[in-house]
Amino acid sequence: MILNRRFSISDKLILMITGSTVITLLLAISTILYFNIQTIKDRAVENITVLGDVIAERSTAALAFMDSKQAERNLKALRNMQYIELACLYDFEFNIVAEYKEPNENKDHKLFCLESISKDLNEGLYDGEHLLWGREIFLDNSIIGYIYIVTDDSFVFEEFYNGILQYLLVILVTIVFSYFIAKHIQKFLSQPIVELQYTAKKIALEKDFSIRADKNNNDELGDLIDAFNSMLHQTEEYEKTLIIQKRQLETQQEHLESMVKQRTQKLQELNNELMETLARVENMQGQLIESEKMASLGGLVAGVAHEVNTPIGVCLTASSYLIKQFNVIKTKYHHEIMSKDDFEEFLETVNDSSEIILNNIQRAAEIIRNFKKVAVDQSIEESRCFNVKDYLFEIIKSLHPKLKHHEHQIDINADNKLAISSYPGSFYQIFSNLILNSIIHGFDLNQKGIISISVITLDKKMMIEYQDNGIGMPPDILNNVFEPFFTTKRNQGGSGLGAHIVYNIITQQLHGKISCESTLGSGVTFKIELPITECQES
Amino acid sequence: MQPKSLHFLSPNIISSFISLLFLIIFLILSHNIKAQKLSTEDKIKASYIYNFIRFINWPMENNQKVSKVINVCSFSSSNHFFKAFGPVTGKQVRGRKIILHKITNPKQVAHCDLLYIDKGKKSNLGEILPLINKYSILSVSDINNFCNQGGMICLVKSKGRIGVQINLKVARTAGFNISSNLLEVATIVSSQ
Repeated sequence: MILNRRFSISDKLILMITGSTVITLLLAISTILYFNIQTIKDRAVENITVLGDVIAERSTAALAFMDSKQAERNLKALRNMQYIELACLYDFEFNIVAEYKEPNENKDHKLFCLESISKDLNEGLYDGEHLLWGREIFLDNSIIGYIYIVTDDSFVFEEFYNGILQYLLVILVTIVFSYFIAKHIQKFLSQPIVELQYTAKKIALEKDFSIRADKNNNDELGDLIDAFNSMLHQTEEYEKTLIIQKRQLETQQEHLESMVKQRTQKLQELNNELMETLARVENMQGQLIESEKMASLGGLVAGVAHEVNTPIGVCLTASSYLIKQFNVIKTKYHHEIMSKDDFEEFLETVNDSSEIILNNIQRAAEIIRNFKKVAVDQSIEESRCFNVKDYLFEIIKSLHPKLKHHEHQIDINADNKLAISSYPGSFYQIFSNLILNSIIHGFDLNQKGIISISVITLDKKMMIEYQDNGIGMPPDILNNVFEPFFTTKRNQGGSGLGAHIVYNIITQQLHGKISCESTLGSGVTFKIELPITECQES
Repeated sequence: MQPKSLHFLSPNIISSFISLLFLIIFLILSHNIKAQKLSTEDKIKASYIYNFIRFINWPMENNQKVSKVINVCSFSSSNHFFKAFGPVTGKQVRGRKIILHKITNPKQVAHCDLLYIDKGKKSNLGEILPLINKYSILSVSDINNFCNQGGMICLVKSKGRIGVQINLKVARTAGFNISSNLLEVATIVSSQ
């Protein structure tokens, strides 16, 4: 890896070619040397076998006739063989007949004639320092003795080292030779690459994509240069296109910026208009809410007038009937034709009429009293102490003109003694709107609905649950139920402000919360949570 | 008659008989001991003669028709050599079987391949040497100066070991081919 990073391609090429040549050569030489050692060893065994065979052959008579002097003479012939260190001749009972030792004192004198000779020694045996060889000596197929020879095996290494020196010389020559060949090949291969590199650097430096690399050969490097040039051509074209596109973009950007300015200005103007419109709408909405309140008050007045009209009408009829009867009886009296029966009948009529008139006037008075309470609350908007349950009944009574055409049942579930200090007009607005909504939107035409209002107090809070068992609302209506002007009965006279007024009163005037739950077919539930101050009703 | 015979086997007579028996046994044993003592040299001689057969080729031995037997004859005054050579009898050298014969008369040498002449037959030498040369017989002897007198191989005792002398000229004339190995350990002499 270090080689990969630090060296140039030409150095790498030279290193690789020279290196691989030397490695191959080393492998070959190692193999040759290995086999050489084997051959040298085999040859040494061969030589010692021939020598030993000759001596054994020459010594047969000496052994047969137990002539140890002749045997020694035979062994002395070995003194010219410098590698032989020990030679022994034995008779057939393994008694030493003759022994020869290398006279050189520097040699290892620990060597001695063995007491027996194993079959292994026939093929020669290396013990690391010596080659040991021995065999039986035969005469007419019977053993007459043994021979044992020990040679120094240093000659093996001498030959080996001589070989190595020669091979080292060969390696050195090969390195030099392969270096020059590699240098030549490198020049041939790397020159185009170096030129290409020079061209690439020049292009990078000058940013001039019109420069082209020169191609000298049609080989893979030639193809590479072609590809490089083609890439340069493409880059040049691409750069031109880019410059054009850049200019176009700049123009477009300027155009866009001016457009944005214009649009922003227009938007600002529109926004201002919108703000004004919104302010107007809010203003109108407030006016509408007020007029709706007035309208409801007007409705209330109309209802009351209608209610009062009936007892007053009855009174009128009764009193005119009384007057008529009075004139009849008066005429009879003046003409003195009045009988006792006539008078009694008149008295009866007077009594009945008076009762009728009294009853109806009382009823009208009650109606007016009720109206007065509500109307005063509606107009005064002052906080006062009132009993919640009683006031709820008052509200229901005041709605009687609207309720009397239906047979709905309204249950109020609240503490009889619960009195709070608050705005009763707001309460009237809340419940009259909720009840009227239930009647107009919540129930089918002939349905006998049940509305239940339950009130509980908890920790200076009043929880009101208003519930009807009407047709309920689908989710899309439920989500918009408190929106102003949202109505499903616009054409039937609905203003779409009732629930919004309720919401505004609860959240803004009474600082409470209201939520609505409903599913189609299972009625509507409004949950109202109001902060309250309890009081003692005087 | 019974009491008389009992009287004849008196204790004195029995003890004399036992003494005689011991004497006979001692004589036999001592004879044997003497025979064994003698045989060491005879054994060496016998082994030498066996080795001569191994190192010397007879004339015409390479011929296919040569006899498959090597007749070794002992012309000896004693039985010692014959006994010492016993173990070699029957062995084969170069495919020929060694058979030992004992001759008493020089005229019997005609069928011999090797003749061993004992010291005791020195007097017969003049009679026997011409016959040997006539029949190409390898002659071996421990008689002094045997080789000088025309014998082929002499066994000479000197310094406690038995040496070999060979009259090479006589042997070669007779057609014997002697191995150089043998000649290396032998002393070559010639006829006077």
